[in-house]
Amino acid sequence: MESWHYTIIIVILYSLLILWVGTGRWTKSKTNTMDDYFKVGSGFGFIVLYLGIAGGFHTAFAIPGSMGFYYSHGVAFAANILWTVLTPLGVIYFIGSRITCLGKKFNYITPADLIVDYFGDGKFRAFLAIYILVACIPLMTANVTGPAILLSSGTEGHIPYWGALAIMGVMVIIYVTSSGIRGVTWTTVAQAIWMFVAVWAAAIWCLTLIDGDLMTLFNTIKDTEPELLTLPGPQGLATREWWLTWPVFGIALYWAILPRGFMFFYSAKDVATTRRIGLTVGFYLMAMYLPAMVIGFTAFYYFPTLEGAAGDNSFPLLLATYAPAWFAGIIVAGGLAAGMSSMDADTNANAAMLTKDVYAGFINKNASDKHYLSVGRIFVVLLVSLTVLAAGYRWSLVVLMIGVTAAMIVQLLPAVIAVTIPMGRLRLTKMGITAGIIVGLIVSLMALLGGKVFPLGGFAEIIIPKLLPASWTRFDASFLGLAFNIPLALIVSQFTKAPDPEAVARIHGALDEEFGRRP
Amino acid sequence: MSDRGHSNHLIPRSLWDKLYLGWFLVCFLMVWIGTLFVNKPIPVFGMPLVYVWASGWGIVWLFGCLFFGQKIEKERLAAKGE
Repeated sequence: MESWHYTIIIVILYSLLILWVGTGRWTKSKTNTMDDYFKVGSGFGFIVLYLGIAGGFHTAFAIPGSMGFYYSHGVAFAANILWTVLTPLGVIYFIGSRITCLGKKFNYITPADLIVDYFGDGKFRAFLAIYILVACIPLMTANVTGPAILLSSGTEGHIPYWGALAIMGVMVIIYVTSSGIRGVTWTTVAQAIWMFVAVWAAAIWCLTLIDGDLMTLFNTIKDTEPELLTLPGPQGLATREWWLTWPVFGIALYWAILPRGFMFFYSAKDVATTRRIGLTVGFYLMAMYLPAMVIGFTAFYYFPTLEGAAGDNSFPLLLATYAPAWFAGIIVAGGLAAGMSSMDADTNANAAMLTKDVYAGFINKNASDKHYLSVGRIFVVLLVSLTVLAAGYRWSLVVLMIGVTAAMIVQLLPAVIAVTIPMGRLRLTKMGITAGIIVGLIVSLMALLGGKVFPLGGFAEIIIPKLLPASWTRFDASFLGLAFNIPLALIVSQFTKAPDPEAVARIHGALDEEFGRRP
Repeated sequence: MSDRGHSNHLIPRSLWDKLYLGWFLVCFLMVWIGTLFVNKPIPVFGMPLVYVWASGWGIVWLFGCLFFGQKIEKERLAAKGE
């Protein structure tokens, strides 16, 4: 057998495992309702949800993106250590547990449910749902490109890039339409374990390549590209402005309030479960990324002259050149696990929003749950198809696309905080929140896209003008957006209609009951 | 928001809440700001200093908040009479 045959066999075994886990009897709900399809009404316990959240947090950036990042930018990657701890201990522990509390108490299904219950329903619900959906499409697309490249190169092109995309898409459609969030969470449990083993196995294998001699690895890099060992890195990425804003605003604060985060928080058995996950999931997240340094630097040790996208693919190249075929297969499947674990969760969450917030909210208000579930499954198929088709263009703009998602989602943070954290005299209104989101989005997109040129099929191009001062755009776009969003939201809120006092009292009363009773 | 009658949840209530927040802030600043002050190509057990500093403080951060978080949880259960 040729080496790529082994890779395909292992990927087939992985795929069968995931389909079995994602459609087995443990994923079946006793009731046929939206409440038990898009989220788990009765709630998952600690271990399942822990691994579900842990795996669901990882995208293709885990494998092979993080290794490519070390190859290209060196220890600038340490910025990721910040979010792997800040997100769990700050956002999940403090805000995620409150989302669980309110979700359980008032039976929310989508992120918009929580926000409009406080600020008031109507067109605001549709605005939020469409805004969040538009925000998530770039991230979903970016997530599947890396694993597809990994699978294609791992099989020496015998599975083409589009074929790899189709395999992931079909698998996700099968288990998400079959089992909704239960299928998503159970497969993510398996994927979380697989990718964790794959990353550590890859690091240990890399150590064997360099005879366990980290000092030689360090000295080789110091001699050939010493900028990899300090900030800002050889390409100047991790400037002080970037370091101080990106890990906090560009990732930590938005990562846990992605729609998939809401679905997991709503699916917790109780508030204590989410709090315990907040306290402990950082150990998994951090441990996933620690080995990337050894892998990325080993790739540099063997292939020190790769540039641009080739640098991002340095780890797949290392595998293809030096790894035994069966081992490469395990890592390739680990990459698929990383991409699919977030693609399925995003698909489920976005299908929930389209079904509950748009279809049930505006198009067909009084249908049965059975009807809404059928519509939800159609949305799952459409969303996966859209993601796969978009990724089929082989976007070279993955980082930019993830930046767009981050910049859009983080603008929702003031609204989420206003609902979940009673703050005394501070006051926000629906108009204030909306104005803040729109202006924050405009500013952050100007920062992200200003000066970029986008070719249109080779016969024309779109040039985005630079409207912000260069000194501003050194900061992360999400931070810039929030810097305009929050003051504007506060100012507009002073002059516009406050939320219904009864809704505020009901929601904050529920939070007081859960979080405010201690001496 | 009109929160008259509701407590301000940004203010830590018990000693363990304050210790959690204090530990969180110190470790956060050590990773966030402190890393900028150890930005040298120095090996620590063969690994770059920036990597060891940031991940080392990250681990300290996790263990400390886990400890204080468990104390807060016990306090909550006691307050609820469970």
